[in-house]
Amino acid sequence: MHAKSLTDLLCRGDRVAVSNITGREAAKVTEISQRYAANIVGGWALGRGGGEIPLEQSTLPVFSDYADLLEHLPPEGRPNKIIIYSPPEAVYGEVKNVVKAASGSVQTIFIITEHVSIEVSAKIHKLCSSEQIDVIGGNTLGVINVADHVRIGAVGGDAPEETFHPGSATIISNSGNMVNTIASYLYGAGFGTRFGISTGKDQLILTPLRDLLELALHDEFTQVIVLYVEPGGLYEQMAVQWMQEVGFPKPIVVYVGGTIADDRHLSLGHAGAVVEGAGTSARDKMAIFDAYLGVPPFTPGMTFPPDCRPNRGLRVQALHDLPEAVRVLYDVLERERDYRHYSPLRLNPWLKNMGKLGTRLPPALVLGEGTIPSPYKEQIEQFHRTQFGRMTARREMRNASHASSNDGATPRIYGRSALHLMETRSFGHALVLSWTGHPPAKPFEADLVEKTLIAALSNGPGTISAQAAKLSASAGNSPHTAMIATLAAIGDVHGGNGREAVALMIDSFANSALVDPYDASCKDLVAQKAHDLTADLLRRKRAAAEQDVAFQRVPCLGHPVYRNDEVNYDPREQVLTRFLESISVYHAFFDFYHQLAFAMRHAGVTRNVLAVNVDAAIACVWLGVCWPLLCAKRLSVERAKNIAIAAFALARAAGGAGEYFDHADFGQPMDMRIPVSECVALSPDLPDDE
Amino acid sequence: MPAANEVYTAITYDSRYLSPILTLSLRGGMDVESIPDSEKRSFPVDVYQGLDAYQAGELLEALGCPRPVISPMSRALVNLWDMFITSGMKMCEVNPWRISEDHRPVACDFKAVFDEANFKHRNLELELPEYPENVSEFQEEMDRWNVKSYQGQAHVSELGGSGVLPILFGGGASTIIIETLMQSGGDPMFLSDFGGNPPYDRMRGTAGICFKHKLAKAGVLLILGGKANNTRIDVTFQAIADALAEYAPRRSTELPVIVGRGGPRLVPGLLALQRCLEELGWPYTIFGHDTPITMVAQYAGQLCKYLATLPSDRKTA
Repeated sequence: MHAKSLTDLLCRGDRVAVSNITGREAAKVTEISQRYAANIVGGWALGRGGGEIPLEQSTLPVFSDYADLLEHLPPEGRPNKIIIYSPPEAVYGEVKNVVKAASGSVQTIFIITEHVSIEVSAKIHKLCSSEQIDVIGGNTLGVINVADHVRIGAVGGDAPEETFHPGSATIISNSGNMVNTIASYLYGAGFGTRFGISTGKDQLILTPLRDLLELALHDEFTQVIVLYVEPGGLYEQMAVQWMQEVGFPKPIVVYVGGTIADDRHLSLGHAGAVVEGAGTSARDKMAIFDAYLGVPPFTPGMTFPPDCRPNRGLRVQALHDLPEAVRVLYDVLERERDYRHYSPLRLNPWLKNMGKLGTRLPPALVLGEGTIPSPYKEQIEQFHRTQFGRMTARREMRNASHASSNDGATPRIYGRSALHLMETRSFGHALVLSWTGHPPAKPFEADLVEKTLIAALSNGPGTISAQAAKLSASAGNSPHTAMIATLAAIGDVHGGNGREAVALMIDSFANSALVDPYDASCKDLVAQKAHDLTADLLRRKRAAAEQDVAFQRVPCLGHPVYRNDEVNYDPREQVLTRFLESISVYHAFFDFYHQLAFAMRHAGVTRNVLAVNVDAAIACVWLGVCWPLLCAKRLSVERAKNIAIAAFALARAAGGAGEYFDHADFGQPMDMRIPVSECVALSPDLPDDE
Repeated sequence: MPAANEVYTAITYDSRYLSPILTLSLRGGMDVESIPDSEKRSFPVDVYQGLDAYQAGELLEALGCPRPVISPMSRALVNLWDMFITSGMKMCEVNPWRISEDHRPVACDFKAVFDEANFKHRNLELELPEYPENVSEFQEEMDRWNVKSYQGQAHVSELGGSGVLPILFGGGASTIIIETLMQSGGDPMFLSDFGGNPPYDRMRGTAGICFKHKLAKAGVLLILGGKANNTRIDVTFQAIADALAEYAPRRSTELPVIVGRGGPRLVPGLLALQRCLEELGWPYTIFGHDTPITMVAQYAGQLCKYLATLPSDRKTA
């Protein structure tokens, strides 16, 4: 039975089955459609029978083919609407199977698939016409019935309710995207949508405009019909001829695009948007509508004398004039708009940075600040709140560098002359520039950095990094090889823990009120953060004990050497602390680590007062340098974490060279070798044939 | 060849009948549009049953075709139909047939268009003549890339402009945007439609081809589409940003970028692009879907037109 009204195409209560439901597009759209409309009963996909499509709170069954679907669904749950997502070559077969097996139960088939051949389209039309089945498409995006809160296909994308609000305008469009776009424009002017229909724009549109207008005529809630029309086909000519014959009573607002194809042999985006003879070009279609409407094309500000009212509607010349034309039409016809709000369409920039170019533009091209509407404003704010540090974009870096340049005369570090740095700055200053891309913000930062380098140079010959340098010297290597050996002996538990310490502090303070780490007014915040972390640690420790799993320790607290006193300090960390005191600088991260050590003892997380070790001190110094840059999103979190370990590695590699020089001068070749007599075999000797 | 009669025939698909139609006229040799309606006849052909000689004969008779010609011409028309439907054509025209003195119809000029979407024409393994076409390397590379996959559109048509480089989404939107650019002085380089929810790799490749050929000489980069239904903005815009980062070093000057879009996962997409443009230090303005595409296109066109009037050293910061 062919549809008599728009609701026959789609309404609440319809049951939809999806072909090729497991395909990339179909599965995604099905999930959203089901959330919006809950009208899908299942689908089929070749070779996927017996499977399921997972949804938020349920699943949809997947059958091997349409006959299988019919066999397994109860009679009352069998589909009356079919949506085809199969590849182009399979579309004809799918439609034939549906028609053959449906025996009158299917009313409409929606063909989403693009690139269906024109021969197949003609055959589908013939086949379905004889069975009284309507076909929308091919290459339709689908249809939405807003009042019933149901859709078929992807009209409205991921959030149909954001664009489609119930109302009196039915949109019929040759472009799927334009259904969504026009509905969005209309809503801004106070008009909701009754139906949104994407006709598809293959060469054969199997439910032509004339038929859709007839359905809209019989839909009592459609007050105005908005048309988006492209070149190709005689659909509009036939529709207008019919409207004239029946005295079509509902006003239309029409936009015809595609005049660019009138004058040149140009392939537009849709397969059917092709000028192929009289009546098919954009200008011909404009003329057809103008003759029908009997009023000149609409321009904003236009007035209509009583004897020239646009009773049949208007044709707009710019897409953005559509809502204004609908508004004028409603005013002239003395009809109420669907909604009271009215926001005229305008240039509303959401994000902009025109840089220096912006200062040189003529006033007409200078845009004011825009307003980002809800919920996008909140989403962007949320992104910035949760996103800490700089997000970088990837680019070709093979022959490019921000960090350095050399024009043949002046080597530069992040654009600053290395020669000038040599003449006027310290190594600490240059290092901060080289690693962060910015010079130190405070003069004492370069001093702090240098002190951490001294602190990390060496911690005695027994450290494994020093041992590595000595082993290398003992083997007869060069100093740079010994330095590499030193670096190779640095790891997560020796020197590398600073990275974890930085991560811990970023987790605690990211997006908090702490912006200047040297601001003493942050003391309360720091104390609170140390307290919060301690409480969390205690909870985790108890949970770990209950589950008998290892408790993950706080990085950089405790040291194998400085651990036996009532209150333990790493003396190198103490030098840095005293230096800060001597220049009356508060340091939030040092304070945080000290408070954490005491709070953990006090709360019973540990029985010892743990020393804040040198790795933590290095991490605190460098995070202090990096923090304002992180807050300003000028430095990535990843870089801030890595700098902590790079700082230790830089100094310790130099310390390794010191061990090398000493060992190479005074040691014997191979003297680091352990005599066989001191080595312990833990595996028993086994015979060769086993 | 000497002939007493000439016949015009064409088989096409017709939007009025949603089926193939045969058009006939005894005024062969003329453009069909200029043949008066009274002297040509069109007949919808059942796509399943095809054309039979009886139908063809009736049509010829109605046109006043000399009786001895009707039978041989009818047989020729049936053969023409068979060729049309078995080879996946969407249009074929013989104009004219010349009818010899012994009533033998000879097709003297033949034109056909195969339907790219119909597999039948590929079965013929025809070596199609190469018509001398002035196709640019860009167009050629994009056409090759387009047919590699049916996931997402990669459609471009060269326009020969030297202003706006348009990365556009949606068959309808792209048409309207290009029209607006032309009206506002944007001088678009090409028409593009990259919608259809392309996956990352597809979009990355598509954008890469555009930038490889066009970025160096563009006046304004316009990335614009309506409110997408299914195209994921985070995926497509990240792909464009990555392609842009790759090809940006080919420019000696910064390029103003105008963006307008709506659709699924919009915010992550816009921010990904913004990040890239901040990294490049290029001036940009990004609109959401509340600004109509035509207004964005108009602005981009006017901006491009204005920049073209500046001396080259003043176009950038």
